[in-house]
Amino acid sequence: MKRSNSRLKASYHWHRRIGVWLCLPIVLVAITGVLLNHSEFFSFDSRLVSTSAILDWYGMEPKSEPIVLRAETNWATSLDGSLYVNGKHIAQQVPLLTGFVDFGSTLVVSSDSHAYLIEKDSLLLIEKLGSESLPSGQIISSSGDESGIHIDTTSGQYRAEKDLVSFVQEERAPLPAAQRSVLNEREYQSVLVDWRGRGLSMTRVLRDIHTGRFFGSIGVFIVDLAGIALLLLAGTGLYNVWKLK
Amino acid sequence: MPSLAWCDKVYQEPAEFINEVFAGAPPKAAMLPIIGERRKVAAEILDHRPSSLRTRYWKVGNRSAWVLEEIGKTKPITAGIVVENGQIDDIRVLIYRESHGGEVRHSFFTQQFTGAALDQEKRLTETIDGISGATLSVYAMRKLAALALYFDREVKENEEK
Repeated sequence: MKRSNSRLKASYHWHRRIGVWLCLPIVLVAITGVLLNHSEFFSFDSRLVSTSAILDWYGMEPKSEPIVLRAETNWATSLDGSLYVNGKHIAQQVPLLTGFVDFGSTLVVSSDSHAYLIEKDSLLLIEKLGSESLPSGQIISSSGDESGIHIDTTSGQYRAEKDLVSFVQEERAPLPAAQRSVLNEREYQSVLVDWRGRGLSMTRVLRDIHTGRFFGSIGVFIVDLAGIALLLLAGTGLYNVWKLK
Repeated sequence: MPSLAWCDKVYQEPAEFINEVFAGAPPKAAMLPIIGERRKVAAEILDHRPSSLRTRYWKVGNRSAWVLEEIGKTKPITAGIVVENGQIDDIRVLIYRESHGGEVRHSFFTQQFTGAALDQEKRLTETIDGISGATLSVYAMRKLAALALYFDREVKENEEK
């Protein structure tokens, strides 16, 4: 009887201690677990983190220098594949720019595989043209004049009206390569802030907190301890209930 | 292939898809502006503002083909959709850019869309079963199918005016 009581006492004692010592990581794991379970409902995949401190923590910096083209007072840049025109995000997965044309009310940006027709005032995307809408081949260069937009691809030279509805082949000298420029500090900071904010979803941050990775390897170790602690709490809890019967 | 620095899986080039749909003789592309009331309805179907102000389509008789994009989890899925007589005749994943969820390209999934039309609430009339681990890609494909059906209906109404 005495031995049984002392075991029960010890079980209560450890149940309490484990619960107190590891309550914070256990609560974090529980809350993040529930949130992750309902990430679709909360749209966590599409919700992006914009807090500078967290983005700094993750080291969100572009891997390469931006590619910049200018047309009159407008500028287009590809920053690690994100296309920005006059500082506004237009499209992702645009690693290369081959041309940028100002047509008065519309702007046309070309990559090697797509062309983007943009309304100048609102910077809204009018249309993204892919292989179904463009001449065959990779786009090498593009430019514009009063006769329309000219595109050089690996399969030949083409021209379209400025609304890019259809292309006709033409005979002319190849276009020169687009002249690259650089961003000034204000321009760079404006796209960097947006670029950083697009890179980190809430799901990613929640998952990293849930697994402890957010806090590095020590965080992973503590979450492992929290997992073991939960098992011990369950074990000691069941033992306590059983012993009380 | 250009611009495949990411994990783009190109199952079929959009140009090839259009060519195939119209047996090697595709018609000239036409434009459908996505403005006004149409833009509002498209936003309801997509659950967000449409990404462009117009979309291109190819049409012969009652058969239209669309190349549309929608974000799956974080990257766009490019799908080719054929609508005939107001119903889905074919839907395919042309380019898949996510690292997971690519099961949506398989026929066991896409065949579910065949014959689907749009009801009064702009929802698909066919039940589309999900795929475990590809929920967002499935959702994107459903939205694209509904959007193509809606656009096809709009084109038809314009032609009848």
